[in-house]
Amino acid sequence: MNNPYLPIKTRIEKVIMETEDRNIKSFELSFINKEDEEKFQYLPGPFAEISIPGKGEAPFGIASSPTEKGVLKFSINRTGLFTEAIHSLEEGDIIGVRGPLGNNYPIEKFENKNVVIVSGGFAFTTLRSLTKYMIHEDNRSRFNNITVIYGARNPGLLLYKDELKEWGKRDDIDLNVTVDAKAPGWDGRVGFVPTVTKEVAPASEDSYVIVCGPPIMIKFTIPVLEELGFPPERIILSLEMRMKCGIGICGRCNIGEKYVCKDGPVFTLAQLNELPGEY
Amino acid sequence: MKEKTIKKNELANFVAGLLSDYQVFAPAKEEESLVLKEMQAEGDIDLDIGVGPVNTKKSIKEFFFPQKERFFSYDLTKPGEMEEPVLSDKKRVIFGVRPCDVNSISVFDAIFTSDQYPDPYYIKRRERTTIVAIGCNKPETTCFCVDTGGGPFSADGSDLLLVDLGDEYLVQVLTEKGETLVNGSSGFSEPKSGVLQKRDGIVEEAQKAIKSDIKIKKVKGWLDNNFDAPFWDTVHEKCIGCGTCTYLCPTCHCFDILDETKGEKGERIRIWDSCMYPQFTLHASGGNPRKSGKERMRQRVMHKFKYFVDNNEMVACTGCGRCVKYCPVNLDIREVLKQIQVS
Amino acid sequence: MPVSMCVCRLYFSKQSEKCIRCYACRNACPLCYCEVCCVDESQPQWFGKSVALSDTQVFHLMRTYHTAGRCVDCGACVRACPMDIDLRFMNKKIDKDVRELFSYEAGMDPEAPLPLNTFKTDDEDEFIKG
Repeated sequence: MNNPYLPIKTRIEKVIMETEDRNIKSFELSFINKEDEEKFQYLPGPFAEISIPGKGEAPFGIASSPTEKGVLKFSINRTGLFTEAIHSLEEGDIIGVRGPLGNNYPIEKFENKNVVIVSGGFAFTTLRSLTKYMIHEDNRSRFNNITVIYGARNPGLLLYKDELKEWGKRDDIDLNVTVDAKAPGWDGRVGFVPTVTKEVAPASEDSYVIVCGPPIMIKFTIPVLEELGFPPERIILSLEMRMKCGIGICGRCNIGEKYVCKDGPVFTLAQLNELPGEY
Repeated sequence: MKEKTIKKNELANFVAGLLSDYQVFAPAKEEESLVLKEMQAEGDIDLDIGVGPVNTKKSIKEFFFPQKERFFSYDLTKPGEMEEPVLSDKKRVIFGVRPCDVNSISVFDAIFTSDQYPDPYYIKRRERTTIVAIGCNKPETTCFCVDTGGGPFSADGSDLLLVDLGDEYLVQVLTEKGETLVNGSSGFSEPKSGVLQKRDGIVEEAQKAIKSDIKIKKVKGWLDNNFDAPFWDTVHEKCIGCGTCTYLCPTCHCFDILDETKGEKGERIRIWDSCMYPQFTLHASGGNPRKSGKERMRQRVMHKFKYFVDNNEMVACTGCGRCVKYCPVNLDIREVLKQIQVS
Repeated sequence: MPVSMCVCRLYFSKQSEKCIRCYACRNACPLCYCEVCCVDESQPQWFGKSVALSDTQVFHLMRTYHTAGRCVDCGACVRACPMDIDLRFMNKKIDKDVRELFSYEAGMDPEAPLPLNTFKTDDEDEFIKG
């Protein structure tokens, strides 16, 4: 019997400082045991509990794509004791991971449809996984137009800068990176994510849109999407809650009868509209 | 289902006979209350529990879901190494459990034996346990098991159920585990004529003694549509936010997972937690989706009588009445449900 | 150790063993007004959250000391405790100590300064110099 509470062992292969404020680092992990790697099957969307003995566990969205074989990636914002502890780890250190937990983006529904990704700030992690997955050569033909709208407060706070540059050169993905205000050396778009979404105006017909970002961004983006004609069934969100067990039983992350950790974190707006507003 | 009888004066013998193969736990009086205690030697616990409190103060849940569970131990100087505990597989009999507590096992099974995430700790403890339940001839005034789908002689979850007939017990043999116990002892006989009728009379009388009249389906129907009702603004007002109701509840199963380190050694543990505590849902960012007593009380009622029903087709309450009996401010869940019922 | 202390310690252990950490005593107590109780602190976590005897004892000791000189023996904690823990046993001891050391009885004079909340920087005792 698999014990859902025991972390598997991984090694930190690479640590990348993502942002200029030095608060977000990405960690690329490799599995120490081959059988753990084989069992760790996922599609973009789920999260995992990162475990540091003595510090506990905390949930983080998986930023790597399943197309990146053997690599597990997490991008972690330094906000408290636990994330501070992760930030102090170095390449070669051993770290525990429990997962994958929760559901994934409904990728099968995206097939032969346009996919629009709208994200802000630090929430881009699992959407990086999704984008990376969809534009992989094995998968790209399954989807129609892919539009990405991604914003940060300033250019220094954008995640995955090298990759964004690379994606910008491709003609099979419409990448729109924006920052909140003009900044020296920035010649890209300027404006808040909801405004840019309005400008880019992705077609809502035959399209799915995935929105992930700070609550304020989501609040102002949803009306824009509704105006563009996206029905709630095709607006997809990924929620954050205080999650502990990750398997739907410890009792803290439920919204109504749904557990964010097990039934989510990915929900359609239509599903969320059915649930009480306790989040 | 097989039915046997055993004379009351044979019972101690029967239980003593189990000691060679099983750990035996039975309700024992400690100060004014009952606790489930391990029997160390023949006769050290008086099995005649007909007088005094009917049920133990703490429920049976800690036998399967202890207040603290160790997942593994670690040593900070040895990164990556985990030492897992070896769980006992010694067979055990828990004797004298009341139907409300054995009924709670169905709730726990639904949570901890799911196909997707079976809980190895729970399952191991369940497997090694045989439960001898005893029906309640004289339910307490706080009991409301008949309203939550059980009853003072509800057998669901037990391996044997004893019915006190005065000078003897009628023994309902419900599972193979139960049968093994009965087969190992010579004290059992076939029920004499009239015994089953006598039992039926006792059951009926006990059921009638439970006066509360909660219509659980009606409650669910109201809860389905009234998350935002003004009712929630006031119903929690006298609650002081302690964990008494949830910790003594035989079905409450919320927990926390954390690390406790002393020096360089430590352990990752699972401990009971309570939805009534403000810290339970507090985010690291400082936000809290259940920020006041209102949201927390609503969560407790909703979880037991709506969410759990939606997900598992049963209420997460067995009507044992502990939360009613021990609440420091007499916040009576039956009253809450009745108010809902007439809403 | 004197026999009486031994007995006290045993009795205290026996009582603490019953604790389920529900915090009914704290929540019912009119003196427990801290916004975040020391047991709920996580940064740092002062003591363990499980029912290990040492942790439950520290909790009860901490609460007793924190209410020393203010506890008027109202008994709310005892009435609230679902496990029938004899919480007054500890409080009575502290009441007695406060009475003997500071000639002070909580609740008798609303104007009197609280013995454990009052200090003078020129106090001759060593402890104040810390």
